[in-house]
Amino acid sequence: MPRKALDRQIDKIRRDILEMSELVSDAVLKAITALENNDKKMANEVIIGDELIDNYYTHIKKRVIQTIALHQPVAKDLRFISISLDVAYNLERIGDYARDIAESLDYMNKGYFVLDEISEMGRISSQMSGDAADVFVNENRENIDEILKKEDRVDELYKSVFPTLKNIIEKKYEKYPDALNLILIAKFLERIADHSVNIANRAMYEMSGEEEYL
Amino acid sequence: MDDKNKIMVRKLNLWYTDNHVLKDVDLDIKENKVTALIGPSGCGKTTFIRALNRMNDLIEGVRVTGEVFLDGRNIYDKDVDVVSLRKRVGMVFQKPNPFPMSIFDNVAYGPRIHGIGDKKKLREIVKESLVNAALWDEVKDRLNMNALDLSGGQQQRLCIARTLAVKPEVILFDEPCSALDPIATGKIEDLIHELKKQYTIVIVTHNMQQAARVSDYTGYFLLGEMIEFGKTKQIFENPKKKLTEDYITGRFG
Repeated sequence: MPRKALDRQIDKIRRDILEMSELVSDAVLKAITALENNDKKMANEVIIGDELIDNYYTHIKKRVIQTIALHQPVAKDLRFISISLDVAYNLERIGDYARDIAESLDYMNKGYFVLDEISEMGRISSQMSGDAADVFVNENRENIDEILKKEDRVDELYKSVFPTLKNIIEKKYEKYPDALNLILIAKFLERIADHSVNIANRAMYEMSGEEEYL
Repeated sequence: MDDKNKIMVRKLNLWYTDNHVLKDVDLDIKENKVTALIGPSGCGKTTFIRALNRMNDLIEGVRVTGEVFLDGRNIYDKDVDVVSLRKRVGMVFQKPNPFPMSIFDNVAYGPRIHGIGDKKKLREIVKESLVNAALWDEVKDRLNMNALDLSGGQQQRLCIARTLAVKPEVILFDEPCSALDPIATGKIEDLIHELKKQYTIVIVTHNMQQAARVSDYTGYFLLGEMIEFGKTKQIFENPKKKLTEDYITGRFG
């Protein structure tokens, strides 16, 4: 049985996922940094960079289908290969949200404000996507607790921005478009954190073969 | 595992003189299901299925301990008639081995030695067996042809028809496709799928994908021991033993 050939394909998929997750994590961080600094150039890098993330997704899908067709993997190999599709899908969605955040700069008023809570959500969710991919690629179970703690923090921050933004919408009429945009951005960041938890969930199934939901 | 047991193997040990080939094998073979046995060469798979109809009795120096219950009756009990046992538990071998006679006579051979002489009855049995072995349409106009002139895949289906003709309850397949091309293999696999509606099937195979495709249960043998047995889905998705995982993923063997 050409075991070495299958191992090579698995290694390539692992490397692709790792590179994709680095791009995605970086995109989230850049998107939030661009928002904080009203840095249109950086925002544009995120928007253009999303195409590369999408290409990774397409490439991983192709490699997965080829590997199944040519090597008929079973057991843990099959779990790794099929779950790498789930992981790549979740990473691709995170990339889309990073692009959405970067694009929102175009809709902000001059001299717009960013809440500290949103900055913190951005930094945490960027780390989460990298950590979650690490759980999958390196079977690093130790990251799981950390990811769950971060998700709790993101949810807490997400809930806390609403009263503040509601207050702004009600009292500072000229700032309401920015506040609406920030509500959307907070939602995107909360979704990013959820996708990272999805990745960690799938990674756990890959490791144990049992469905255990976080 | 709610399926009914057709054969229950308990603490089966087998020696070829001093060579301990099967070691404390416990296994339940479910009725109307396909059980695949996988494992590296020399692990005892073939010896094991040959123990299920006492084919090993024919080999000198064989010693067997333990029990094999067929419908609750131990086939190693002293008063068991081995000829009727082998009628109930038929076998198809690795290489097609038709007798050097006509297609008709090959299939009629078993019924004849079991005392069926009526020509009409024999014709019915031959037709039914060939139909069930998915060979009838290919040979119905040349039943008097020498069976050795059939293709390898047809010869193997003829051997299956010959086995079916004596109305067995269990069919043991010992690597039935290893000498066949992919098309003939596909036909035998489809046939096994059909046959399990009426028969209990045990198949030894070196082809892991074949085990995964055709079987409901899979057992993994290594060095004469049954390492893991379970539903095929479980064995190929999430084997419990590392030895099984290493074998089916090609890391060992």
